[in-house]
Parts: sequence; structure tokens; C-alpha cells
Amino acid sequence: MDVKTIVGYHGTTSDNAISILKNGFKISKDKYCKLYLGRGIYFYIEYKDSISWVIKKYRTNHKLLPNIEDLNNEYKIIKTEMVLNEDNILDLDKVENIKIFDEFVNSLEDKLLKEKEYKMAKNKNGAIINYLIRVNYLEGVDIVVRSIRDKIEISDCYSFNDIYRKVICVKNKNIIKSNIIKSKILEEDFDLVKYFFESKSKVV
Amino acid sequence: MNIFKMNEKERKKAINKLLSDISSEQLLKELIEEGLEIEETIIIEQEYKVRLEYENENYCDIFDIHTKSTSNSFVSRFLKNNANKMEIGDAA
Repeated sequence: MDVKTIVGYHGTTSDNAISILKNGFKISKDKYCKLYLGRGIYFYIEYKDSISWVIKKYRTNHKLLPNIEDLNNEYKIIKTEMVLNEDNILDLDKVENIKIFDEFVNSLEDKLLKEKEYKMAKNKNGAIINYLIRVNYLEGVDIVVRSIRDKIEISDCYSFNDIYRKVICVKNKNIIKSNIIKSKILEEDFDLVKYFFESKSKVV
Repeated sequence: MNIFKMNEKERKKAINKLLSDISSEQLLKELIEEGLEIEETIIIEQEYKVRLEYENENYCDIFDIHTKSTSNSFVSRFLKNNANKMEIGDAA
């Protein structure tokens, strides 16, 4: 069995970042199943995707895009190293795994509909993964990996306006070996990511 | 077990097992419909511990039922489905 080291990036507020460094990550209760891959700690594989996430958060909170100083003041990105067995990765980008997931949901749909958490879930994927864990059908899975589709602003004369960001959801905190706060977001990275938040449409 | 590591046959079996598992809540309803008198129900999250009177015997809890009757299908299923949740060693 191969042991693998994975690096993930987690964007959060500056206050939370300090708390994480001090006390480690906490798995949120996620009562209404808003999380895409169920309960866990979320990371992006790509550093720039985590920058995109904090820009989006800033924009949601302030109703405007940030400048680099404000963004660096308000948010931090934590670089986390995880060490785990390759067998304990559930990669939901793989077609064979998506097929199993789909078969499972189709076979158990009636049963799932009776589950309180599933019925209330804002995100059904997350509720299904939580259910699989609850019935011990995901034993040994340390992380779940899946790419998430995101919209980007580009010229409207071609159709590359979807981007896929690979996300890790950590189910087993014990695989986390280190957390460090990345130094401030650099201007060139910020400008590159911010580019895709600004409309390029020529239509007035 | 991990459903993503199973072969098709094992997976089918695992899914069927989940389909046939009756929730404690459902089972409790069936027990009531059977006419068994429930004296006390203690709800601990989704798990039910039932105290009931069975065939005019003295009150007994679910651990006792095991020794007094396994012929009743609902009781048998209850015991089967909840075996891992119960401390069988406590049975009378």
C-alpha cells in the first residue's frame, strides 16, 4: 500500500486561521448539509483556487471585489500537509466510482427519502456521503476528492466559462500532519485570479 | 466495509442488506400494530429501547425477549437488526 503526501489549501478569515494553527481544524456539524462532500474539512488542491474562494467570500460579504491589501488583511490561506494511504482516498472524479455512487443512490432512493438529514439537505451529495459513513459503508476513507464546477467571467465569444476546481474533503483529521499560514497573497496571483471575476462581455 | 472497494456481487449484497434493514422506528410501529403492549419507550437518538409485555408474561425489556421468544418475526427481526447495538451479554 502506497503512502502519499498531499498538500491542500484552505482559505479562511484571519481570526479563524490563528485558531486553526493553535487548536487544529474542527469538523463542523453542518446541520443542513450545505457542504458538497458532506461533513469534513475542505481544501483545494490548487493554491489559486483557494485565492478564488477568499475573493468570492469577500465579494459576498462586502458586495464588491477586494483590493489586495484588504483581502490579505481579512483572509488567510492555510497550507496543510496530509499523509495517508493511497487506498484510503475516495476519488469521485473517477467514472467507476461515480457509477457505484449512482447505483447506490438509485437502489436506495426510497430509503434515503425517509432519512431526515437527506430530506432536509441543501446538498444531496453531502447527505448521501454522510449516510454512507453513518451506515459504515465508507470505512477506511480518509479523504473524498471531487472537482467542483465554477463559473468564470470571460469573453462571451467562446465557451470556456466553466472551470473545474479539485476539492478534498478530509474525513479523518489524523492524516493532517502540519498547518502553516501561507505568506500574503502576491499581487501577480491576485491579479490572475481576480481577472476571472471581472466581466469581459462586450454586450452593453 | 467500503462500498467502493467491493466487487459487484458484494456491492449488491451490501445494498440489499441496507434495503432489508428495518429501522427501529419502523419496527416499533410494527410491534404496536401486532398488539404488543408497550409499557415504556426510551428514545436515545434513533435507537429505541422497548419495554413490552409479551404473551401475558411479565414485563421484559428487549434483552429478555431474546430468551423468551424468538418465534415472533418482528421481535426476531428487531433483535437481528439491533444486535450490534445491544449488549447481548446483558440478556436474561
